[in-house]
Amino acid sequence: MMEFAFYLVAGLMLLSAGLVAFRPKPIESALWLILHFFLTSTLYVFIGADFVAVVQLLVYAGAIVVLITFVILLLNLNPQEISGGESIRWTSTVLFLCSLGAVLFCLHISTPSLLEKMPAPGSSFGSIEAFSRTMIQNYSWSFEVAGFLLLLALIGVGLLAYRRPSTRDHSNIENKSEAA
Amino acid sequence: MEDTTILWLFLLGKIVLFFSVVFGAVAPIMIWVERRVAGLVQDRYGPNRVGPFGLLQSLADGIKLILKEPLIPQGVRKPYYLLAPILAVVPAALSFAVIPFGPPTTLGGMFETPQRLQIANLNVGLIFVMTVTSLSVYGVALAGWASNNKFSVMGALRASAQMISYELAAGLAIVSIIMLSGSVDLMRIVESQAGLWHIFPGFLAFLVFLPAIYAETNRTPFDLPEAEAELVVGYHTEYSGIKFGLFFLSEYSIMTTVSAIAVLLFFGGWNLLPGLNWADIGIDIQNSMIGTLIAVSWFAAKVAFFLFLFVWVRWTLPRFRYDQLMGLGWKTLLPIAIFNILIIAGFMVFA
Amino acid sequence: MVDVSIAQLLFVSFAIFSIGAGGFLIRKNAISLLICLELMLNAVNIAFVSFSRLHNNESGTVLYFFVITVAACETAVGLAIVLNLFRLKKNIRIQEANALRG
Repeated sequence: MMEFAFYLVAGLMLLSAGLVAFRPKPIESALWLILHFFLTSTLYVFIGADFVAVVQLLVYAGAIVVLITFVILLLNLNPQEISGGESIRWTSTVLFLCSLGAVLFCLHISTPSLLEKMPAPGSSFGSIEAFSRTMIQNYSWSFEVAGFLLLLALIGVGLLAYRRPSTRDHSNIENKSEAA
Repeated sequence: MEDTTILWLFLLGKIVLFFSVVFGAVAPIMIWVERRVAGLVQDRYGPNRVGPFGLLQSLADGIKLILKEPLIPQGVRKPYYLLAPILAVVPAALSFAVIPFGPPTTLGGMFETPQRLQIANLNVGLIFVMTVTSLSVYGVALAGWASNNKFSVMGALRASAQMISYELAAGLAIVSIIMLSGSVDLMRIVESQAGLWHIFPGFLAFLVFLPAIYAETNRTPFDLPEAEAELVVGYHTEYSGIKFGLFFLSEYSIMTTVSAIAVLLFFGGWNLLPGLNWADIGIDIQNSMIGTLIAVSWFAAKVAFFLFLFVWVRWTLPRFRYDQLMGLGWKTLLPIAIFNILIIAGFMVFA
Repeated sequence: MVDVSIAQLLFVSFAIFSIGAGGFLIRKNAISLLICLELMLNAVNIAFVSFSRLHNNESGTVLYFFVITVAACETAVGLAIVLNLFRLKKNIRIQEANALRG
């Protein structure tokens, strides 16, 4: 029963991933991406990582995809401006899938131990306490660096998105010369 | 151990009770309260014709909305247009799952061990609520985009920018509460406030949290996404009938959720008063049925006060300008929230 | 909790990563590229958390945390660049972002 649930979720994940990657409109990709993250979160619940499952939704679905959707709405592009010579060649797709299968088959026969069921995790696995203990005790330096990276990204985005008055004047002049 | 059938029935009872109370009673009554208080503030009567004091007005409006012709304007992006109200309601309903509405109880001896008055016992409850409320932005953004109307798109843009910005401030305010109580389980957070409510050490956090939840629910003074003077009604301009009703319902149920969260985090949940517990005045909230009911009603009364505060603020304060809104979020609330974390950390180390 | 083998989880991760990579190579507009990048990072995360579960060691989930930090930064900076590209070219097709080609 639970085995079936896993296969269902995994199958839906692959399907939604395909739709994310190959739907023509970015907004559709973004919507399928939300579904994909929900399914990923379900997968994490299946393997017992509860905290990770909630963080997945909080950060990915609640912040990153919102940001992407926001920019898509902000640009509000015409369909003609988005599409442009994207084509999937069926021969290369089939070739790709065959090589994927070949790699997996080689793995399968070379290391059969991978196919054993995973042992039950410790009782504290996936809890917020165990996670934070590992993070603060063993990775405190990396944690600080990650925080610094976020700060740098914040400043960088501020600088990138800031429209300098001189550039605006320049583009105005360009527009005027075009109009003339 | 308890009989599993009784436990399942208890769970089912909690689900039915909680959802029927919130969607069937709190949201309609809130709509009525909102309109009556509006009347009071503006020196006129509110709706007073249907039922005693007009109490059945929301029911009448609901029936009207359901019976209305399901209109789909030409030129909307139809699948997304129909999906958006659903995406708005689902997070509002989901967030109730982890909110505890009473102390652990044996219901007057029906159970051997105390049972939680909470639908889903999630040990990351608070983070789950934050997640789910942040997902409610998709309904708004999609509604605006699918309506294919420039006012709707403007409303949706404003809503998503505003929700992302104020989520940061609210999150940082909540971090200090997590530090104080040492848990993200809402039940534990309430238990840790048995002596001292978190509002006292965390007063600055509350000052940040309150405007942030008003902005996240798109309520006045931050209701820029539906500013009728500039944008018609923003993202739900093109919606009518029950589809509009769903947006309305989700707004009021998210208001209920965030009010409950404010009470649980800062005002001691169902604890009686700071420094005075139910046990001190001789009420056993765990083992006696009456005591449990009293505790649940006390919690409901606190939530009702916060809901009233929403309405009160709406008819008192004017709307912000958009740049003032963003300035308040990023330049005032965010630094205060970070500063507050430092204060709380100092408080915990030295006190 | 479901009894699964690490191979099943790794297959899911690998397949999603391949789909993301394929999309990244084929797509022509900048926002879709960012979305495909998210897909690939997410696939890597699945592998991290699976190994963490296999060895009963939280280090994998800590790495997951660092990956989403980087993903958040990458999205924010990437979208700011896309906005600038749009201001400059009035569209977001990456074929037209060729000013540095010389």
